[in-house]
Amino acid sequence: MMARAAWGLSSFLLQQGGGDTWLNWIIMLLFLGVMNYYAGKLQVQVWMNDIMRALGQLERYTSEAENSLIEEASRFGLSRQELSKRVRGFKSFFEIAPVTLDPAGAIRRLEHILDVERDRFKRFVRSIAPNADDDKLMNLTDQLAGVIMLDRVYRIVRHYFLLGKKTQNLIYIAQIQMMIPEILRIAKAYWKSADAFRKGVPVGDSVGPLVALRLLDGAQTREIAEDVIYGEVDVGGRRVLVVKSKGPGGRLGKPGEAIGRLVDMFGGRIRAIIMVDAAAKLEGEETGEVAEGVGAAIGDPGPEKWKIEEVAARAGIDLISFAVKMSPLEALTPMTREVDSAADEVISRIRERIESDYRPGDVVIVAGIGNTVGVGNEIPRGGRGDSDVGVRREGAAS
Amino acid sequence: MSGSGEREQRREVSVGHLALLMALVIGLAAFSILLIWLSVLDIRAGRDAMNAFFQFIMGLAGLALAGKSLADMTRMRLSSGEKPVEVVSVIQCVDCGHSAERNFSDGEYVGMLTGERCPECGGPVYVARIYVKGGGEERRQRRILGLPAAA
Repeated sequence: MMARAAWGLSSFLLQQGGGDTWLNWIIMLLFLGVMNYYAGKLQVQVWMNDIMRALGQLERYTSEAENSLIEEASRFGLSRQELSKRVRGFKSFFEIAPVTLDPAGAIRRLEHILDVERDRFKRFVRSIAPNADDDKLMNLTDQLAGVIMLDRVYRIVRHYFLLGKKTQNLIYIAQIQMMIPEILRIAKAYWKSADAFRKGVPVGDSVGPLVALRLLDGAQTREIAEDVIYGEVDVGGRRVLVVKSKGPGGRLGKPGEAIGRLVDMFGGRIRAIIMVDAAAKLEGEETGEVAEGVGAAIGDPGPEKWKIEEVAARAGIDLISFAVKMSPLEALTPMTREVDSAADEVISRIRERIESDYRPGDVVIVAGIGNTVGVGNEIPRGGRGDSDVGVRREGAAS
Repeated sequence: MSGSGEREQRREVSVGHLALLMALVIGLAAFSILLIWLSVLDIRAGRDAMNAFFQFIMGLAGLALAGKSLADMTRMRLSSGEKPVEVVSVIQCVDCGHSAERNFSDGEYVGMLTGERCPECGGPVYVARIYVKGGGEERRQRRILGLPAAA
């Protein structure tokens, strides 16, 4: 019965479409005219549906990251209701970049704003988790930063979606729709980072501090700048000063300030600054691929990078960088095995570089840049480490 | 962990969305087969060969589109199907270097003395590595590029 009906309908349609009567021509022209008018509107509707779906996803990411923060912070003093109220009030936190119309002193002003922001974050997190230790506070601070970022992305996408809907402006809608895959990729990275920081697991971005920790191989360390430690090891008769942020809480510290102080302490004896950091890979590149280059490998907003470039240029010090390639998602989520293995390769290459390019007695700084969540400050004495880099442990220079 | 790594790049869809897509693909395939059948009947009966030829071509194109859509659907993943990732800690003896891999415990960090004892020599044990097992995204990219799987 159904087959016969389908046959009849198909035959009718084909006969109508296949004929060359004036009626068919009119129907065809009418169809083209209607489609010409409605095709654009249909396309906009399809794009709007895509954006709406993405908005739903972003809202879910934001609320889940927020709930994760509240759940974790509730273990340290305040009730969930109180935490929910406070976090909701702080979520829309913003920072205003300094004016660059007059560029003189812009870096100093930016650094001040970043210091104030960091301080404000610390105070807020301390207020919502009064019983947490310093490392836990730093992990909660990173979780909070993720929530703020997700909320900001959600609000911006929602803004353009509603604006496009209100004005029926195709350009607004098309732009946001085309950016959605990348926006969702970044949002997903922040969403997943909440779990990593909650548990204190090393993330991909921790590869710099991990290299520093393994290179230190049990050497004593001490604090040289805010949230930054350093220790000294011997590599083939060269003195190597290893710098990393203070772990195992999620800190970035001020490596630029630390390097500046070490250069001041050791005068003109420092021959090179070798930096190690995670870098965004291009699609098709392998995670954990190690690349070498020159310049300051550090992804800060500006002040720390500027300090390192300034001190290297002033003292005529080689500025060498090693980058470990990974995607933005891998940089913010628990470290993969490939990245962990890349840390060993970086250590071997640093050692080769130091022994081939510098003479015994030279002083070289190695700075492991990145978030040090889940990475401690010292490997226990006697620890051999899987990465046998052949370094001799030394006490920290005074 | 709720899931991690780039292996979750596949498009997420709801069950309803997937069912609708499946119905459309089945409908398109059925209509395409009908067109091909009609065209064969027309050719056998010796009616309007040009029309039958176009029907045949349209039927083939419809089948190809249905096949491509079906292949795309196999790459989709249901929203609820996220695979949890496995975070592991490699613990190592401070004295003899003996190492073993086990599940990560909350609060552990690289360089931490765990308080456990080495099964080989009884020495103290520390966390030497923490990482997730994965690499699915790279395998997918190598497949797209037609490269052999990495060792």
